[in-house]
Formats: sequence, structure tokens, C-alpha cells
Amino acid sequence: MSSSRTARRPDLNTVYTINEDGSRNFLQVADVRGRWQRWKKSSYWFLNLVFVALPLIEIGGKPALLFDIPGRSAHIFGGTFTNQDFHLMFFLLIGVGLGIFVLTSLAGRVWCGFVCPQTVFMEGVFRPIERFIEGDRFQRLKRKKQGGAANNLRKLAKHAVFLALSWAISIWFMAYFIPYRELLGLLPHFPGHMTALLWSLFWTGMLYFDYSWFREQTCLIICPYGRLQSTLVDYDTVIIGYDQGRGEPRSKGVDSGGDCIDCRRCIDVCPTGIDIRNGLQMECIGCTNCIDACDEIMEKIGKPRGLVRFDSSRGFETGTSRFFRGRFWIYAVAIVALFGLFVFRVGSRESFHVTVTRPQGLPFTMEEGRIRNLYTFHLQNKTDVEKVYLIAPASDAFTGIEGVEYIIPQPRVTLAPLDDQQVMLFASMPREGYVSGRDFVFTVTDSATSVVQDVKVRFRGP
Amino acid sequence: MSEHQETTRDNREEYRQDTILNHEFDGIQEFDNRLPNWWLWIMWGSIVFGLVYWLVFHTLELRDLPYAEFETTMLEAQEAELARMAALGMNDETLWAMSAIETKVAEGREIWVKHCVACHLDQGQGSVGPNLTDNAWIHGCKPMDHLNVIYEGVAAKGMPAWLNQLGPTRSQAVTAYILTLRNTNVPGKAPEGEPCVE
Repeated sequence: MSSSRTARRPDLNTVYTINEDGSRNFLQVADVRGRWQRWKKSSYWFLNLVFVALPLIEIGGKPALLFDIPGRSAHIFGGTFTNQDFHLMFFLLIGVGLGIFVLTSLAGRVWCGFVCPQTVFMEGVFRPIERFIEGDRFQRLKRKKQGGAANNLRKLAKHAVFLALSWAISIWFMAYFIPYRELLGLLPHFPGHMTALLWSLFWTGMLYFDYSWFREQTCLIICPYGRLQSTLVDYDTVIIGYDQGRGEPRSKGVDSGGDCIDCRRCIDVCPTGIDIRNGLQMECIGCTNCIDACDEIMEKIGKPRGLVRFDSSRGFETGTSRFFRGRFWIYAVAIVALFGLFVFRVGSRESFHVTVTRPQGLPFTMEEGRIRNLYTFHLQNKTDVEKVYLIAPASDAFTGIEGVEYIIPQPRVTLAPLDDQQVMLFASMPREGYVSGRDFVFTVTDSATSVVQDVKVRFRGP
Repeated sequence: MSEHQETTRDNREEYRQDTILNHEFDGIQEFDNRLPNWWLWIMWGSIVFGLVYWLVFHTLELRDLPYAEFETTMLEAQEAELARMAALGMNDETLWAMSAIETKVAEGREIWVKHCVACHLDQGQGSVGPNLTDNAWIHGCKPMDHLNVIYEGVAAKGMPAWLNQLGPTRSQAVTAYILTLRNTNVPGKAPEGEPCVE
């Protein structure tokens, strides 16, 4: 880069973080203070705390949140779900997806700025550490230019901390899949276990690469959500914007032109390298840095706050805004319906499951003039407590046919939590009484709760 | 193109990366900005990886494809299991010896309670399946005969083949347990088959 060039300005036609030759324009984001920052930091602290604490919390002796993949079950806040409950994920995922859509259409990208894990770790953990070790924007730029052993040592220290943190996060993330006590016991064995070692190193590497170098590129080029912005927001969506009517024409003087003094503070504090004065852009992650930065300047020059603020496009242009609009009501109905269905299905899911199979290639056997059917009941206890199940023929089963005999060798089945077992039972009847297409009904009763499931099985014969 | 062209665009000559390509659809035009280098590295890297993968796995067949590798691994596991069984020297004597080992019998009893009591009842006195507490056997009275019946089943009588579900080790444990039932003569189903001559 020739020295005669002045600083490049972010514009709408290029990505500011990518240079003309395709190389990276690495941002050194300036510090910012203000009321939105306080909200944001509370959110980061809270979410980081949740991330660390959740695997440690136990409800009724079970982890509050545990996805046991090999055991094909999940413990979610006291509820136990098995693979038969997997369809519930449909309602949950669609509900959450729609929830984010609604949020975006009403309040823009607040998800990105306040809640997204990429931002929470980047702005809540890694950037403050970088700021602590390498100083503020001015010092970082100076040190980068200076080089030298002391600055390199500082850089090395930062990267060492980043690596260690990436490793810690990737390990702790596993505590959502393996109970943490078990996980901590497994850790010393990692070096001898190739798969576990490689995966933990892979995720450590990914996180380290993301937070030490890749950073906003994830949001700008990889994340699909930002790309949906233009289809989700409308004229009434509350977004972060620049009040063009009040700010233009920009002028260096406080008393001449509009309120914008073109101080570049909003650009210096932007973590994705945009100029908010160019309007709503795909790159904006709604982090509120530019609002607080501009408010600070406005206070200093004695002008009212809010030159950059949360408002709708309608608000910026006409000064009025509309919140409850058609889109809001349609989304609200859809969300209530989906979550209602989800809650209903979660509440009404069965506590045990019975599947009936027959021995392969052997629909019935003949013995001393009687037809005999063998059934295998696969009983599955879907709860967290030991259960006793009672198997019995339904009282009015197979009416009108004489001489039906049931053999239920194991009428009481005891099942440990989440355990399953196959139980065999037989039904037989005289050959002369056989009519095809008739069903037996068995009942399986949970002895503790008296919940009964009817199991209908077809009687097969010659 | 933006309405606020003068403020939204860095028009200085040295920053004019944005050549507009010569096509337009519904008013949408495309810039010819340079792609990020990291993006290009991923693209070239993927192409090289693809070529190497193609050569190694498909053309030169230096390495097995995933499915073939899976089959090889399964085969190796089966062979290892067979070798382990051969090393144990599974025969009538070993099974008799097992039936004298308390832990083995207890393991067999546990499996028995889960899978066998349905037909043979709790003490082996038989209901659908034959009585195992007498000294009469339908399919041979040697321990290895019992093990084979457990492995392969007797389809015509409703006895399932257990090898797939239990595997060899657990089937052997059940055999060991059954051997402890012999001659306990629990009243139940009448003796079937040939009496054993010791």
C-alpha cells in the first residue's frame, strides 16, 4: 500500500474487511461505553454463566440438560425423552426458527448482537481478553506497526490464552452430551483415545481460528441468517439506523451543516467494519456500538442523543412508527399454535412403549389340534424410575370364540429406568373354532400409575 | 445502484474495485470484486482434496471406500471373536467347567430371567418349551448340543435363534446355567425326548 493513500472508507459496493487484492483488512475495533453496552454485557455474562453452569445443575438426580446420544435419550429440565419422542423436535425447531423470524421482523438483528454464541464468545470473552493484553485500538495499531520482542511476547501470550480457552470451551461443550463427572474422568484418557483426541483438537482448532482470526467473516460470509435480513425486515421493523435528515450534510464544524461531524467514531467501533450512515446493511449484526459511540459524541458537542438509534425506516423518514401490523399478528398466531402443539405433545407423550413382533417366518404353530400364536412384546420404560408393568388379556377379548387360552409366563415385568425388555407370550385356540381376521387385545398396565395401554394383535391361523 | 451514491461509495480511484459486470436481471447487477483469499484457499484446497480422494480411493484404489472399510472392520471383529472362542477351547468340558463357576452361572441366570422364562418358566420346569430339569433331552444331552440349540433355535417349535441377540459369550453363560438345572426334577412338563445315559 503506497503511503500517499488516505484511509479507505467503508462503502456499499465492497466488503470493507477484504482488501482490493483479496487479503484481509483486519479490524482493530475501538472501545465504546454507554447504556446499550451495559445491557449487552449483562446478556453476555448471563449467557456465559448459563453455558458453564447448565451441565452442573441436576434436577432429581439427573443433569438438567443432557443429550445422551449412544443411549438415544435426552434429559431436558426434568423431562426424559427417548428416540420415540424425536418428532417433538419438529415443533421445537420450527417454533424456534419462526421465533427468530418474528424477532427479526419486529426488532431487527437483536439475536446477532445480544444472544448469538458467536457474538457472546467473541465480544463477551475473546475481545475483552485481547483488549486486556494488547491494549485499546490505538495501542494495538501502534504495537502492530512497532513490532519488537515485547510486543511479540504480548501477542504470543494472547494466542496462548485464546488456545487454552478454545480448548476449555470445546471440552465443556461435551458436558452437554456426557455427564460432566464422567467427562472429567475421561479427560486423562483422551491422549490414548485417537477419536476423542482428534475431535477435541479439531473443535479447539475451529474455535481458535474463529475467534483469533476469522471473527466477523463468520457473520458476513458464512452465516445464512444475515442474508435473510432483506426478506425479513420491512418499513416498520425497528433497526439500528442513522437519521439522515438530522445528520446531513456532514460537516466538520459543530455549528454548520447537519449534526453529523463526520468523526468516524461509528466506523471505528463497528465490529464488522461498516459505516452505519450508509443505511441498513447485511453486515450489521445489531451490536449497538455505533449508537453508544455517536451518543457520546453528541453529548460532547452539546447536541441531543439519537443521531444513530433504534428506529424503523418509517420512523427515520416520518417520525411515526407502527408496531402492531399484519405481519405481527400472523406470526403471533403461528408461534402460539406451534408452541402450543409442542407443549401439548410433550405433556401427552406416553410413559412406556409397547411394540409387538412375531417370530420371523413362524406366524403360528399347530399343536394337538390347537392353533398357537407366539408374540414378542417389546416393552420400553421411558421414565427415569423403575417400573413394574402388568400384562393381561383384556377381559372382553375375542368374544364369541370358545376355548381361547393365554399363556403369559411373565405377567409382571420389572424394568429399570429407560430399560427395555422382550417378553414372549402365547395365545392358542382350537382349530375348529378358527375364523380369520380376528384380533386379541392385551392390556399393559403401569402398576404405579395405573396407566393402561391396549395392545391389539391379530390372531393368525391356517 | 444506491441513491446516495456520493456518500455510500468510496469513489477515489485507488479504491475502485467495483467493476460492474455486463449483465442485469430485474434491475439487479453484479460487481466483480475480488473474492476473499481465505475463500479462494478453501476452494483450491477442496479441489486438490477432491482430486487426491478420487485418485486414492477410486482410481488407484489404494484405500478402501467407507463401506468396504466397514465390512473389513466387521469381518475382523468376527474373526477376533472366533479366535477368542477357539482360544477358550469351547467344548463340553469347558461348558461343564463354566457351570461350576458361580459368577458365570449368575450371569446365565440373569439372561435366563430376561429371555427364557417365558417358555421354560422360572425354574426351568417348562410350559411351552420343554422341561429342562429332568434328564430327558430332545436335541441331544451334551452341553454343546444345548449351546447349538440356543445359537440356532428350533424354528418349528417356536424356539428362536439367540446367537444374533445374545452373542456367543452370553449364550455360553445361559448354557452353563441350564447345566445346573439338570436333574433338579422340578414338577412341570412331562419329560420329552431321550433320557441321557451318563
